[in-house]
Amino acid sequence: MKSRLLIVSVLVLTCTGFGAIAAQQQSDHSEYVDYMFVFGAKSGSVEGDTLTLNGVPNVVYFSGRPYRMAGQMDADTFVKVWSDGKDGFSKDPPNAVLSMMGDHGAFNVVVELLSVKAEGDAVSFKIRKLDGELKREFGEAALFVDSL
Amino acid sequence: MRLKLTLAVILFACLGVQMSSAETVINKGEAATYLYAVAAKSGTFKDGKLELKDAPLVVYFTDVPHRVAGMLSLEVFAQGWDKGPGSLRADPPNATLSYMENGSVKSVIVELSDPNVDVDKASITFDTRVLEGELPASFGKSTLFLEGSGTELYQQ
Repeated sequence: MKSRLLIVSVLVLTCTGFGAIAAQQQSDHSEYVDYMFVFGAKSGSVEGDTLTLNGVPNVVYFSGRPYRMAGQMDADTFVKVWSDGKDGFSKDPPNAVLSMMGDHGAFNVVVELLSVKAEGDAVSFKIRKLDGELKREFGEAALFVDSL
Repeated sequence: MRLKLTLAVILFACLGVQMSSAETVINKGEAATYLYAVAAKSGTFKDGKLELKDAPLVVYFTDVPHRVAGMLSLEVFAQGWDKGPGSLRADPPNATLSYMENGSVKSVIVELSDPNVDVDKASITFDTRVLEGELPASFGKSTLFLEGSGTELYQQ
């Protein structure tokens, strides 16, 4: 592993810079870049069709090869990306995996995300459950959101 | 320090920059490299100690063909530091710390060693050497990115 030469680029965005990704994707169709967005949370709850994550410091994103980028944005920026994107999330709701810490390791629930709101360090989503059992309240959790 | 590991930080302020320089050199048959991210609400840097506060957990991600993503508690992540033949303790990793300042993102490249977790504060502290950039005494929302071989460290 150490003999491997590995170059990782960390893409750093300004708050308004996320459009760069969309521009890049459109400019090179042969190498479409997929992103995964991750929300780490201190705790969370589900009430009706609303999933709320609390204590979310920021949103981390990763891309696959060949670009291998990683970066962060604040939740407000993610909300903007959600609604602004030309082929945005709002038109084609993404699937996501909510991974929660349980007594015997992490367990997962697959959901579809229909809308998003951010307020302070809380982020809430309207969701539709696809697979697994949601708990009303839970502790540390990460929500992995598929890219478009 | 991992001499063979280059973290290229690309500051990205304008639109449409091609990222072809970011191509990786990885043989397909090799084990997965894990990218770990520790997101925190705030942090401090004092006397060579970097502390990330209100960090709920560590998320990780691997590249194709492995395509694994998951999360670890701070404690499990810190415990894994010593494990495996190529442990992170034996060969301290480089990392990029990205933090928000006045609405824009800044990055610093550091070398990390000796993680310590305070469970009550949800904080993790590293002995830290700054390799590139400047680390402020305190900062807000931030994410620490580092690479390691999760295969040895965390999989049972």
